[in-house]
Amino acid sequence: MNDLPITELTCREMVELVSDYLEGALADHDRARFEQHLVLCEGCTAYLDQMRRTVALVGRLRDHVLDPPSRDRLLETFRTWAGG
Amino acid sequence: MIAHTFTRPGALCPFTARTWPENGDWLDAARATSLEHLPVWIAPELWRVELEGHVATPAAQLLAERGRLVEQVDAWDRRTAEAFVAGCIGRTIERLELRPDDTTLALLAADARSCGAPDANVCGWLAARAAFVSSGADGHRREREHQARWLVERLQLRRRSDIGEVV
Repeated sequence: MNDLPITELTCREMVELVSDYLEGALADHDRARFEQHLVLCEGCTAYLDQMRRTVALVGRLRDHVLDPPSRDRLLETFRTWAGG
Repeated sequence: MIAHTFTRPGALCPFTARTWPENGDWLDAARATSLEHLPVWIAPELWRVELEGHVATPAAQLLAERGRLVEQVDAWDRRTAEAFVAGCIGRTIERLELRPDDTTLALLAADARSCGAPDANVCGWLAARAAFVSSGADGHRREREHQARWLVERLQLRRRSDIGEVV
């Protein structure tokens, strides 16, 4: 068996991996471990579903939907986030 | 090859938000499981599936180039899930009775007692965790093997198939 307790992901680790999972960037082994956690954890499953819906909705937005000040604030937030 | 896959109601993949076609069409990047790892992936519906192309085996999973549903395993129902849960609870309590002062086992047993049929996956995990606490990795492996054998026999999953070997 490959689902030994000592190799299980925590919910915190799951959250950190969600973007990579949705982008298909996880290696097969890590993806399967991620999915093993999902089977057991309703909270992380709900979080993943929310993220998937958010990505789908935000992906429909176009540049002109945002007014320039809002766009600048968002870009600044992302830069700070990446730097932190 | 013939394998099995657990899904949410309506043949919905628990992870990818994709639905397995029920008309026999192929699904790319199909997730499935061998009989050995059934307990890891328990979900409300169980299906017999045909896998084709390259099949990778990452972390107790079968990942096939494509797969399609063959038939639903109707024997995996609420009554069977309840029986599976009852067995897991019983073995977890037995482990606690052998080490009544172990607080981790006491917590696991308390959680297991609260499980019902919809929690079969969690209850299997709790029993395996209790086995790990009691007997280490070997105990964990034996508990999961026991769960898998129980499912295979109760659901008669080894029956022969004309379209491929059952893994």
